[in-house]
Amino acid sequence: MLRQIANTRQSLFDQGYLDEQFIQLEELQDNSNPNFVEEVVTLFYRDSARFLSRLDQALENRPLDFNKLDGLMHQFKGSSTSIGAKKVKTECTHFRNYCNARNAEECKRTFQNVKKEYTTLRKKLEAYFQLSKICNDENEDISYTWVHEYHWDQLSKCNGGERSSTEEPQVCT
Amino acid sequence: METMNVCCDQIASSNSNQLHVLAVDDSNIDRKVIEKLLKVSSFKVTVVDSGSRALEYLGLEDDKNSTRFDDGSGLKVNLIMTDYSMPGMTGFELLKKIKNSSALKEIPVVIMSSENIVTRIDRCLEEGAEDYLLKPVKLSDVRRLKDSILKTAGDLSRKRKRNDDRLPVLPSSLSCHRNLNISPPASPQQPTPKLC
Repeated sequence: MLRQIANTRQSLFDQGYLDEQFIQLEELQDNSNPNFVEEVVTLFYRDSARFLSRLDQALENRPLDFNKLDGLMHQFKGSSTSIGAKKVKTECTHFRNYCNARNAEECKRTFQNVKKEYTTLRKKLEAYFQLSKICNDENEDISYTWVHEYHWDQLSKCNGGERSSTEEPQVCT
Repeated sequence: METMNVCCDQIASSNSNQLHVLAVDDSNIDRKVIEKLLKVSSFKVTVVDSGSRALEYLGLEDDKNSTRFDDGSGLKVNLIMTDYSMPGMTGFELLKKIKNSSALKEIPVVIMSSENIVTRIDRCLEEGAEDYLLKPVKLSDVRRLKDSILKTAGDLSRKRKRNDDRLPVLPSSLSCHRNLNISPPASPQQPTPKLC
């Protein structure tokens, strides 16, 4: 299971969805804040929903306000950069280039790419975090079982090798 | 003689005090990340979402009715880190206001920006920014910054001590003078008081 998670995580980097900024976030996560990365990513989803919706609306305007579009995309790109969303960031850059060139058609086309990359990344990240949660739960069960087995062994020693019929850990008197 | 800023006194007098950083960023993701970066690096952190809130916190707000941020401890700010691109007041404008304030100008200000624009960087440094960090800001950036701030504070503290040592030695005839309330001149340039 752990290997599956490691592989899933590695593929996100190998396929270019995430860059080293995501690793930086992982490095900031510790026992005092064990869900830090997921919290940041959740903020990203919330921010993104807002930015993408505003960009959608702005792209309906006639004529297009390129300065406004660029301003919005600059902010969205900033958020993407902060979590290490590599492909999303790249598409944002393309969009801004077309904004600067005042190319309405290309802006609209590129925006579809931005949304596509964002949606793909979000699905992958949600799957990854879900997998991590399951693994953590499983690990808890495993550690409990280990403790259980240990007590059982201790118990066997106390009783001179005879196994008690109950499974309850007992203290040797 | 220029008044030494209090924040350096704090650092010099008590190294066990953590440095206090005021971080300014309109992005909630970036605020969360910079706060964590700073806490992990053993800074005390206050985060605000705009230049005007930063000025309020620093006590520089023009509006006399604005309530001063009170985190209860009245912590002095040792470093300000601000995003460049913010709606309303930009980081650059905030930098200028701080450097133009006699009360705050000694506080180092670091600009953070996702944009690597040489003219922008030059302008910020000319205006007195301590450093210009490219986003996303990393742990290594923060650690380097901390070393630099501590070193600067240490240097200033040592310089101040040397200045004190260079004060003119009062003539031994002072011992006959009953009025011991005469204080030494504030700086070597000022004339020594006439004594018996």
